[in-house]
Amino acid sequence: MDIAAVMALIIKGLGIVETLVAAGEEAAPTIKTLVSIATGAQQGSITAEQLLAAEDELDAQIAEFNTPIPD
Amino acid sequence: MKKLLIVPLLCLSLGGCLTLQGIETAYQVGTASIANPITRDRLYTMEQTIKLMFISLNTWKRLCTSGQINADCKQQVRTVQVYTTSVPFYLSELRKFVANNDQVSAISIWNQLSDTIAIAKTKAAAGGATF
Repeated sequence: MDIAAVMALIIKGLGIVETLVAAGEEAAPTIKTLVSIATGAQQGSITAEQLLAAEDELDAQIAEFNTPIPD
Repeated sequence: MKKLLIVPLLCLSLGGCLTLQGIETAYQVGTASIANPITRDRLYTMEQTIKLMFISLNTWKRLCTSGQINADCKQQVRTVQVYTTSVPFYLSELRKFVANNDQVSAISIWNQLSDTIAIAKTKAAAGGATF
């Protein structure tokens, strides 16, 4: 994996965690994502199973945001 | 309490935008080419980046729904949704093309996905700037 890109991503993610905590929001999904990113980078490459699991989580986040916001 | 939330919300908004900006810089589709193929690892990193962005967007949406931020945020969320609703289609196609190592099609979809995210970023930033 591109370590420089991964590190940049982790730094951004940590910034998001800080903001979520400050706003009193749930930070666990972000932390889990960062652990997943770091683990993948440490292993060197991503397996098909890891990619599939990550995609399921991403799809859930996208679906949540795309749900119409109530009036 | 609400006053205290203004600063985090500003950060949250900017944080979301920074995440999006990260996609544009670190994973800019324009850099994808046959010589620089979209591998499983590259797809994974891009998807994780998009996930962080949507975590930020979902927090923005939840705070908006609960009435903790500006009243016109609902319309701003809806504006961003116009673009984010097309993301699942692009991702689905991109995943198929990467799995089949169809680099020409994958790069084409990658470009379209990047453009869509860039537009969503602009719309989210416009909403965030008012906080």
